[in-house]
Amino acid sequence: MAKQLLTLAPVDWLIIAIYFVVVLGIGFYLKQFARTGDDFFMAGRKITAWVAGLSFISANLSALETMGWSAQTYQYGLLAAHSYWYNAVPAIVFLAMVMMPFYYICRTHSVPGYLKLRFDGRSSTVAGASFTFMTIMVSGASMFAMAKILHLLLGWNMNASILAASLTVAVYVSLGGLISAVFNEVLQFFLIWLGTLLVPILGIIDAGGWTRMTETIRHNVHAIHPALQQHDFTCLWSNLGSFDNPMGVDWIGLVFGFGVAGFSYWCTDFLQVQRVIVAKDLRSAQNGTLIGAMVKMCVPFIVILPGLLGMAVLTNSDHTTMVLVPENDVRANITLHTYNDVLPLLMGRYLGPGLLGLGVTAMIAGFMSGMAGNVSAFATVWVYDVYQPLFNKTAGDRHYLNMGRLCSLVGVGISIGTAYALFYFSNVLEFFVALGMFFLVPLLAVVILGMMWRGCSAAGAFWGFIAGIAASLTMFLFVHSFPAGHRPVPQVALEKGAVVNLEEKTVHAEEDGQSLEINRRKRISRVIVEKGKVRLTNVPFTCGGGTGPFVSGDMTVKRTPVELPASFLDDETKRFESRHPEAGAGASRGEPMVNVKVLAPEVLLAGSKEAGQFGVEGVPVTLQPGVEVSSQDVTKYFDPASFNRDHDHWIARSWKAQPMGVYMYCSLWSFLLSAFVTVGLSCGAPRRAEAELKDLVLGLTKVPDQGPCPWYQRPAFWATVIGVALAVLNIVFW
Amino acid sequence: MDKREQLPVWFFVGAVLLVYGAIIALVGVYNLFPRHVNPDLAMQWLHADLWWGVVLTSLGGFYAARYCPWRKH
Repeated sequence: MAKQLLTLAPVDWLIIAIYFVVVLGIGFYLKQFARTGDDFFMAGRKITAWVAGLSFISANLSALETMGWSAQTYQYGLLAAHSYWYNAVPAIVFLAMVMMPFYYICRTHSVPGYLKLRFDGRSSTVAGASFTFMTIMVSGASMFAMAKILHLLLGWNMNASILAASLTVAVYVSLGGLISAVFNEVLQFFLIWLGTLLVPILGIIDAGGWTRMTETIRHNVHAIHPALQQHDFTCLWSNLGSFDNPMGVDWIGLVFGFGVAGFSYWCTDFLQVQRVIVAKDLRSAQNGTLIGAMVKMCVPFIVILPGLLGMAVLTNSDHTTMVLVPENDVRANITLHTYNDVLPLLMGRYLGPGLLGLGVTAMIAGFMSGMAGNVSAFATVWVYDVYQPLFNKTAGDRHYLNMGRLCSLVGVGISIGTAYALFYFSNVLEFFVALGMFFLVPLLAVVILGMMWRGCSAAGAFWGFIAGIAASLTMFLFVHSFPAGHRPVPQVALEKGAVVNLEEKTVHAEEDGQSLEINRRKRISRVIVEKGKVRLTNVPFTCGGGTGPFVSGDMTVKRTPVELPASFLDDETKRFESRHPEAGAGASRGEPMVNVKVLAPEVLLAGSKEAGQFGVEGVPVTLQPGVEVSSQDVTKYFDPASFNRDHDHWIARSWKAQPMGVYMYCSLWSFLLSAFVTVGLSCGAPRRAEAELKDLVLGLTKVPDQGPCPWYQRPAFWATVIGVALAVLNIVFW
Repeated sequence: MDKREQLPVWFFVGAVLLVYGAIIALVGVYNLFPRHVNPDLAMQWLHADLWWGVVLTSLGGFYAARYCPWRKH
């Protein structure tokens, strides 16, 4: 596998350079229009519906979204489209038609600001503090992901990528504030679409049309997902009657869990809501949100379709089906590409010089828009919901404006720190993603109840919110904790420069779908390490050969070669199966075994002395005398990268649940608990006077007369159109 | 608030697409010559760079002209 996936021509560099010049130029140009706090934080509240709508979607349409959901589609099939047609679009329409009037009429600066008006300072301060923390962490994670992806795809230096992108964002957000972020997001919207749109257009022609593509996927799925080959990857609802689908979730988990997660993100994440509450009037705010919904409905064309195309059209040089693997697979980024590479692989397949530059610019633009959105939302919430109420209530507008500029710079600085922290704690990324979802879900319960029910009390909201966050965190700890200890997958890592001999045997192409070799027609049957150093993690062995105890420490192989096992009895799975025979796993395959993974990213092949790389599992390894061995026996009691099957089924109602299915159910339980506590504590509590709740609660909020307008400008009309289109899409792809 | 009128975002979008479209269309014309064919690229016979460059140029030209700040005066 080549070290880098894409190679840029000079014209591609020119296109990327033009983008950076334009983005910085917009920041400098708009500085003159950000003179007051309202200009800086709320873009002067004069944004039109189209700008608000495109900015609303662009803030979410980052490269993590396009690459990430293409990867999810490759993994889960068309079920991933629920992220758009079930999770997002209905939630955005709900935001426009039901929640926007409250947000807009009460003139709040932020979602925590609404909580302060509706309840009191307690829940708004908790929401503000958690939101600023989460936002800045997500911004750093986005920066880290950008640097990692650009390094893998283009071979760019990670430090240079982080500094170039973060300095650019710091300059244009601190100069122009929200208006600068919004301008750039609209520009980025066009670049992302026009830079990516050609991939599905050319791909569907290449695949021979939709029907031909789905037939090819059904054929290729045997090689791509051998463990799931009986599942249908090309339908939206018809495989959700049971847990037997690529996601391992049933319709209840998807409808309620995924629904709750979607509504929480789109209706209460201030990063999104800020884009539309700054519109020039309520009708523009609602129409802007609905424009966002319409655009969102089309996003699967550039995100989901490439994921499906990846299963149909990607081939190796010998025309066999290309198999992509998850990031934690032993072959990932060594001999095989990962799920995350599906979109860049398609770009490399179809886009030549110039177009490729536009595609890469779209990716960079996507990362930067996500980062800028987080930084501008961070500055607003910090100044209005944390700094002003807690530290300085009486300062003038100029002071808060300067504080906003400073916060933008500080926000970027902390994001850089977070990005570098992720170099050492890569699993933290998953932790933050989960935390984001868990924090927003209880917030949704509190905000919805606050808007819809006059009796909802401040104490109920505060404790409901806290209970929801605590429940989310507890469930997260529960599914990732291993009270009896968990040994990560056994692994043999050959260090750079190790000299190896490979014994190979020829296999048939059909059985080769999941094989692990360099040459796809030959399978490695034994790895013999002649010289160098190897690191063993959780590999039991004895110097006399065979499976021995787990050992830790350094040694050098003496006179007799050491044989490392290809696989051994998996005690953890055996204990699990004896405790839970109803789970059914392993019932027909005898004793459960765990394969040892062998990782060789940079070795020398004995004989030819040529450099080589491979990743295999379930293959015996021989260590010749003189080989240095460093062995570790690792047992974890908490591992964010692994799920405890003993615990998962309590949350997700199934032994088959995949990570996304577990998180969906976590969201559902967290939402229900939060709502239950809020309602329970509010029932006996004294109610606030109706006058105090004016413009904050259903029944006490009068939508102002906005004057006559033609039918095609009415939000209700467009909400109906979107509803019908959504129903048609769900039926067509049922 | 500054008295100068703010340039609409659509003007910036149009200008950028115009420049990008022109560059990509020129590369497309260059790639029309058979000796410039890239064997690693699929669907090259469609000359996507040429017509996509024209699409971008047209879209960018429309927006840049429609929202050009000098047009009003």
